[in-house]
Amino acid sequence: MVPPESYDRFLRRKWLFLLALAAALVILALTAMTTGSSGLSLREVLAALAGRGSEQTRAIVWNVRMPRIAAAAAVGAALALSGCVMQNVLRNPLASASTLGVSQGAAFGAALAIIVLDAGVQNAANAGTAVTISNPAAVTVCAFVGGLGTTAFILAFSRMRGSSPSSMILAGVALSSMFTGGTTLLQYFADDVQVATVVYWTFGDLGRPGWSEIGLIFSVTLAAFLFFLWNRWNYNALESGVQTAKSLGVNVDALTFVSMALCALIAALSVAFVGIISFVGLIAPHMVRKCTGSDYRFLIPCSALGGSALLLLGDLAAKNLLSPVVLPIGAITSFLGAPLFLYIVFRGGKLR
Amino acid sequence: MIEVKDLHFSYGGRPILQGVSFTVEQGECVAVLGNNGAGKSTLVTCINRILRPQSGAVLVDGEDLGTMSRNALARTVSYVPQKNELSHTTVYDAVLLGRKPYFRWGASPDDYDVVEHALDSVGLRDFRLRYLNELSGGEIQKVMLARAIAQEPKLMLLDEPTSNLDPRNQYEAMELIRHCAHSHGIAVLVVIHDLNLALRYCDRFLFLKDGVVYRCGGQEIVTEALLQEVYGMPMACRSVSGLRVVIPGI
Repeated sequence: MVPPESYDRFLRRKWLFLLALAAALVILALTAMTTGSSGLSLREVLAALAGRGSEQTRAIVWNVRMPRIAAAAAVGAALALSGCVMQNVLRNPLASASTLGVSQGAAFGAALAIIVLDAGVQNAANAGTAVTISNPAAVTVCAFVGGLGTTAFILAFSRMRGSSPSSMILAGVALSSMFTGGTTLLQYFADDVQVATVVYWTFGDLGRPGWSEIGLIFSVTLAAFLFFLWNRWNYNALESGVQTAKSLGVNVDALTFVSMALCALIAALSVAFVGIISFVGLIAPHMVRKCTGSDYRFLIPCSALGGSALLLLGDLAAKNLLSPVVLPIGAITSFLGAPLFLYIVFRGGKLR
Repeated sequence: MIEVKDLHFSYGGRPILQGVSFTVEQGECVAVLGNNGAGKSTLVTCINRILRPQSGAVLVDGEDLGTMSRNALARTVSYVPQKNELSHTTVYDAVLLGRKPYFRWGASPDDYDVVEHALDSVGLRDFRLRYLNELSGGEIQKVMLARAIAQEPKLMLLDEPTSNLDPRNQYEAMELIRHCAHSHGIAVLVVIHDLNLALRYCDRFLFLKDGVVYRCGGQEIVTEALLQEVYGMPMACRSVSGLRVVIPGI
């Protein structure tokens, strides 16, 4: 027998929402492509994308705007996916990379690299930015290790003591507070140039990663996405509680462990390359949840698309609000994301 | 046939089950009775490996549940916990989840077929697209039963399925549970506190006390003396309109 007509229609509405999100993402990307100091028209952009048009236009489109858009899409998807899955396996609507210490761990790692390993210097000659990072590789690696290390510690702790999801959340909150304190201490003993560099790094900058870095974020996120999608029914089962999930054949402990490790990996990778972008990972899943319900078949792909769209939107705002000044993306996502989130939460009743 | 053999379970050094053994036949509804803390819920969750018993075995038709994969176990034993976490999910999706142990990538036509039958058997056909958190307690319990039925198990474990229901829903739920056992040939183990519901709808009665099976048998074993020993308070057994009823406190 096929599923009943009414259920089919119900699923079709969710597919439609998924397509609408994808369309919104494309429109946002094209809008982002046509905004910028050199004022290209949509026609010129499309021509450049197809490999035609002037040398200069092609260079702007492929080397300046596209990487930035691709970075926003990949990072937005990674952060939203990690939030969406963490919220499920930790059974807590507040779970995300930035509430569980991944971002704070990464910031501490970056601060350590810049201040202790002396990886950042001021470069007044650089017109675009006040500070540059002399050794970006060291900063990125340290940030990545810091971000991943936080979750690794929490996971190791939970393996050893067999702790519950709620104690994992609390451990994350404790660690993020510890790392915030650590970063402040490092800054206290640093000179003002180093402090400026650290602060600049934590602002977040989508223009930072090049094509190879974006490729890395994208491919790791894609692999995690496929794992999450493969387990979508297991996440659905977990929504009805750990006991029910176990009785439905879900290996809850293994699923939690691997999911958390992957979430931390993609979040830490993103944060290491672009800096701290908070809130997207927390709110994107909740926003799409309003339309998909707690159905992870749709929630996983919709969160990824929603995260990408949200970060692109944030970047557009960052570039246009005080043009030509480009505002820090990390601040923009929090500053504009929070009111948007509050509006959705209060309009749509309680969080689901 | 379900054989539970010498289950031991202790929690943090405190023994809870100390060698529980009994058998349940296919098509039989067995009530698990006893005081709070007697280990009833622990027994049920040890059977389907939500908790790992320290020793002992559970055999279903001679097959050891302890060596099965989680999915194979979920195809053999279904379980309705005492408390349900309600997600923002439709009734249809909640019941379809009962087919998850059978999925490869997603639901097959057979799975939809089973879901429809399960919804029919609990009378929730027209509730398919209602959200769980919009349903009443009785309706939710029926959805959970439908999910357990959709798993097409050999053994169904129910932990206090009637505890939050009004009298009418209690009777409807128990009616349904007995129907599962008798007409689908499923062995049903139901943890229950209401002795009168148990006496009316269950075939056999298993009294747990101090981590062991105190007595197990048909209606004839449920006597005033036994109830006094198990519950530690006087209870009167009477016959009303041909039904055996228990009145606590006299």
